[in-house]
Formats: sequence, C-alpha cells, structure tokens
Amino acid sequence: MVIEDAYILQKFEDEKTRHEAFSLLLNKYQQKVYWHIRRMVLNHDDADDLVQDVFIKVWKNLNNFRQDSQLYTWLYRIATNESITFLNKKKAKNNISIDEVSEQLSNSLNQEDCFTGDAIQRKLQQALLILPTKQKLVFNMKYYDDMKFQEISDVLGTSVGALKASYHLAVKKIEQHLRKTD
Amino acid sequence: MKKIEDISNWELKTPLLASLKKINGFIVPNSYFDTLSKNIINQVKIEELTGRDSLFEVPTNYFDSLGSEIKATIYLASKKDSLNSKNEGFTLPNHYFEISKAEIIAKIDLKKSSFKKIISLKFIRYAAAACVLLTTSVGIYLNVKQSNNINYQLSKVSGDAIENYLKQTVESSDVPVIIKNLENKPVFSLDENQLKADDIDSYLKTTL
Repeated sequence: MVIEDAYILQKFEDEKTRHEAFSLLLNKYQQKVYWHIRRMVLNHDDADDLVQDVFIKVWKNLNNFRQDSQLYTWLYRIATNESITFLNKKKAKNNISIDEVSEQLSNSLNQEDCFTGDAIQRKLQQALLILPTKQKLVFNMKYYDDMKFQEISDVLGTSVGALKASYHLAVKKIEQHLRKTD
Repeated sequence: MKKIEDISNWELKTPLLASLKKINGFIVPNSYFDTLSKNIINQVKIEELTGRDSLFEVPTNYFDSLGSEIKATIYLASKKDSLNSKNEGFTLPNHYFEISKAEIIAKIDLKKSSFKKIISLKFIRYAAAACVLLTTSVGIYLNVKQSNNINYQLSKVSGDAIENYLKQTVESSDVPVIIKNLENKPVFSLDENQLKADDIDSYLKTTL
C-alpha cells in the first residue's frame, strides 16, 4: 500500500500525529535517500551519519515545505546538499584535492565489506568517481533511480536542457572509461 | 519528444553501459533498514530536547560580548604567566632565597629575647608612674581636706579680730556656747603672785 505524500503532510501538520506522519515518511523514503547518499560517499558509516542528518533537517523544516514541488525531490535536494557539503569538508579537512578524495573513495570500493559487485560493476563505480559532481549526480538519479529530467531539475535547480547535456557527457565518459579499462 | 529520443539514442551509442545490469553492489549491514527508522526517530527526539532554546536562559546580549571577554581573559592569563616567570617584574638580591634555616631561626630567637626585655622595662616604668600618681593624689586629697577644716581656717584669723568680733556681736545667750567650746586649757594661767587686786576689779567691771 502506497501512502500518498499529501496524507503524510496533512498528518504532520497536526502535532498529535506528527510523529506518526514522520514514521510513514521514513518508511517510504529512507532507503531512496540512503542509496542516493551512499552512491555519492560510498562508505556506509558516512552515509548512515548523513541520512540521519538529512532526516533531522526534514523533521525541522517539513512545516516550511511548500507543496509546489514533490516531497521526494525536496528530500533528494537536502540529501544532495548534505552529500556535497560532506565531500567538500572531507577535502578541506584532509587538505587534499578532489582527485585525491576520488582516489580514497576508489580504494574503499576495493574493500570487501563495502562493495561486492563484479568487476564490471566496480569499473562502473570507478568511472563515476572521475565525473564532476554534477554529472555524477545526474547520472545516478537518471540511471539508478529512473528519475525524469524535470524531477532532477527540481532537485538540482538546473535547467532540463543543461541536465540532458550533463547526462550525455557523463554517459560518454563512462563508456570511454569502461572501454579503456577493458 | 525528438530530443528525448536523441538522449535514448545516446544511450544506445554506449553499448557497454547499456549491457550492464543495474545491480547494487554496495553492502549494507544486516537489518540496517529495520532499525534505521527507529534510530532516526531517536535522533529527532534528542534533537527536540537539546534544540529547545527555553531550557536554559542566557542573559541578554551574552553572546555579543562573550568572545571579547574570553579573549581578554586569555590575554590576562598569558600576561600573568609571563610575569610569574620573570619574578613579577621585581628584582631580588642574589641568593636571596638561599638563606639557611638556621639563620632564620636565630633571627627569630633574637627577636623573642628583646621582646622580653622590652616587657620588663615597660612594667617598671608603669609601676613607678603609678606610685608617683598615687602619692600625689593622696597629698592633694589630704591638703584639700585640711584646708576645708574650720579650725584650720580659724587658726589663720588673728586673735584681735576674733576678740573684736565677739565684743561687737556677742549676746548673753552666746556665753554658754562660748564656754562650752573653750579649750580645757585655760586662756591664761593665774599666778597668785602676779595677780593684782586692781586688775581683778577692772576685769570684772568690763566683763560683767
């Protein structure tokens, strides 16, 4: 049974049913948000921290959510911002370049407790690491989550045309990387 | 619509990527998603408790001045440390703190003995002053007491003056009083050889 976002939001407005509404929201979206973050930061512990931070922000700000966009694109936007902030902080904290961050993430892919995909899947993930952040985000949301460009546009605040171009470039780079490594 | 097809065509131009199955190769701990909701709700409850501004009251504008106060305290502490490390800016004689314990004890003993002498000298001084004061006070007291005595005062009056006074003011009723206060000792002694009959007659004439 799929619970409508409108129903969740309506229950959330009432203080008596707020916690119940939030539980419904978590059950509906926690996995989507988690995987969106996990594909960005790769490490489970980091993703776990971030997903909790995201939902705490959701709890605090859901009353201010204007229903001119869909609830899940709003959740994705928060998750995306948290992930980007985390990666930038990691870069600044360790005083390393974004390439070195990618290298660290690539190493974590080789850990057995992190990734169990086959060789080609691992190559795909390594190919994603070389993409600029925006291209990676667009590719993940399009390829894995089957989101429409308009929805991705709502999340990233970028025009649909620009997103299509980004996706085209991302796919091309990934294909080249897969061929090269073969 | 055509553009969307173009995008699809781009995907078709990436056969390797298109051939991949969309498998999620990432590992997640067992039952992670079973407990995730509960963990998040617990975090939210903690956040609700700690996020309340009204739990603790802070004075108005406290945080405006907090930074500068902390900086001032740190500055003073650093200055104090630097002063302590340099004898607080004062100079000391060489080897000042190397005075032996015996020397200090000797100085203390010397001070104790001189203190005793001062006490005994002071005691004698105070005792002498008290004696002089007592003697003087007793003398003055006796002198005052004597000067207030009627006999002493009358002794300073001449006999002629008293005699004249009595001649002028005496009455017959005063005679018994005068006789009573007369000294046992006779005013004059009568010597039968010296006493003449004429003198007795003249005396009786004047007094009776």
